Formats: sequence, C-alpha cells, structure tokens
Amino acid sequence: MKRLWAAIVLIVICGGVCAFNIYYLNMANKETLRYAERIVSQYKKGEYEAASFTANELENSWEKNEKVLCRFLSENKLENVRVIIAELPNLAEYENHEFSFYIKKLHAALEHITGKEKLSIY
Amino acid sequence: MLTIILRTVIIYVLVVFAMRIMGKRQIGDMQPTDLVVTILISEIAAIPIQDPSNPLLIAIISVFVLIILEIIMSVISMKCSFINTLTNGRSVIVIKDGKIQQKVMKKLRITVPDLVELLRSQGIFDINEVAYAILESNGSLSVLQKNYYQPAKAGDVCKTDTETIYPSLVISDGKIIKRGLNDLGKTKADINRILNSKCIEIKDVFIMILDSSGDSTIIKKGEKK
Repeated sequence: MKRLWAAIVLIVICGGVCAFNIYYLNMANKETLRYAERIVSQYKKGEYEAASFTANELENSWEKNEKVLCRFLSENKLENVRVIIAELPNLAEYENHEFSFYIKKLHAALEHITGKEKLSIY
Repeated sequence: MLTIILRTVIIYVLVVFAMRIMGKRQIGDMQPTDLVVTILISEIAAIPIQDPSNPLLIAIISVFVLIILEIIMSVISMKCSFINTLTNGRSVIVIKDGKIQQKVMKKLRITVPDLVELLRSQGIFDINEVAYAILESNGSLSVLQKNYYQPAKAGDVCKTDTETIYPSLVISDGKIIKRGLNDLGKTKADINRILNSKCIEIKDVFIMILDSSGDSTIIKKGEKK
C-alpha cells in the first residue's frame, strides 16, 4: 500500500511537471509571436528604430523564458530560436532584405518546438 | 564539468531511490518486467550525464514514469494471475520423476549442458540424484532430490519437534541494534542485565548475539574469537 501511495505521489509530480511544461511553453510561444507581430508591423510602417527596440525587448524576454524552458527542452532546440532572435534587432534597424526571411524562420522554429511537445507516438 | 558531477550525484540518488521504492524483488530475483525496467532506468539515467544539453528533468520524469509502471504492474500481477503469467511467465518442470522432459527443454531452448550447469550450481553433480527440477520464471532452477540422496534432517533422528532458536545481532561495535532487540521481543534492560551479570559494559562489546532461548554470545572489543 505504501508503494501505491508513492506511485500516486509520483503520478501527481509527473502530471504537474508536464502541465507546467506545456503551459509555460505555450505562454513563451505566444509572447514571442506577439513581439514578432509588433516588430513586423513597425517594420512595415517604416519605424525601423522602434522595430529594432522591440526586437531587443524580444531578445530579453526570450532569454528570461529560455532559463525556464531549458529545464524541459533540449538546449539545441532553444538555441535555434535564440540565434534567430539575436539577428532581428540589426536586421530591423538597417532595413535588411533578410528581415522577413528571419521572421519566417522564427515562426518555423517556434512551431518545431511546440510541435515536438504535442502528444505523438511517431 | 561541475554540472556533470552534480548531475551524476543527482542521478545516483534518483536511481538508488528508484530501486528502493521498487522493492527488494528488483535486486534479488529479477522477473522479465523487472529486468526491462532496470535496463531502461540505467539507459535513461545515463543520457543527461553523457549529454549536458539534455535537461535533467527529462531523465527524472522518465525514471518516475518507469517506477509508476513497475508499481502498477506489480499490483496488477498480484491481483490477476493471468497478467502475472503473461508478464513474468510461469515455472516449468524440466525433470519429472527423474526423467528429463526433452520436449519442454526443446521448447525452452535449454541444452543438456545448460541443465547440468544449473544443477551443479545447486550442488548436484549427478543428474540421477534429481527427482524434480523446476525452472522458475526468473531463470533459476529449483531442485528436489530423490529421497535416498536428500541430506538427513534433525527430524529424521529426533521425532519430537523442538523450538526453533532464532539468533539476532543485538550489539554491534558498542551500539545497541534496536531492530535486533525488537525481533526477539527484548528490551535494553534485558541486555544490561545480561552484560551486568558478566561485568561488561555496552561500549566494550564488539558483537553480541542473543537468541530466542536467552543464550548469548559476546565478543569484547580487541578480543579474538
């Protein structure tokens, strides 16, 4: 009976950790996409400096989220996103033609992370 | 490097905890399910140590899930004999009435040298001595020798059953072993009484073994037995 109780406690711990992982990943994902949308709209309006400033904010916010996410996800996956986000401030400020390509890459990288966390047997 | 050391310590504690929580069954006689869980735990536990980019939490959660599965499976196996047979298999008679069951051995893919080796590990060197041999689900062989070859027991000589005496370690290196006392239903006062009668103090005792009949064996520190 003692072992059964231990199993129940472990089920609760595992469930809690998994739920927090999914919640935090979704929250970080939404926050990043929100920032990305703001950067794109500022860029389209020609507010390049403001877009660069927002991109810097995104970098800080991702850095904060990454500290928590690296406890659940492989660092290699998170590094991809970090590298893309780090490029955005310069690309936005100097109106680089690769800006939209990097935004697409950011979307793809985030989708890859969240997709891998969805329940699947493949 | 420090991270790897810290992770190794955490994984060590985790695996020891896992083995303890899964029970003694896991260490002594391994059933197929136990073996699977043990192999998986050792594999999973090694991942975050070998590759620090992998989060430690993944290994911890995976080990926890294996513990949960093992406990649930053992409870189900206990309640349902069909599941028990399905997961752990059943014991099989390989020698019956002194005759080797060749069909069974073929089915189990056991050769005669394998069987002889298993018998030798049981201290039996002549196959003719065996009346029954049963291959247990954990791979060990249980043997019942023919009456003629069975060792004599006290009961063969003395027909009346006497009380079985249970010896227990009650003092080790000057310290009282409470569990040993509890096993015999004795108290610290009983030990003091015995030691006082022999003018020995507890701190001077290296080993004291007491049995259920009240007899004691005492070895003092620095004394050779």
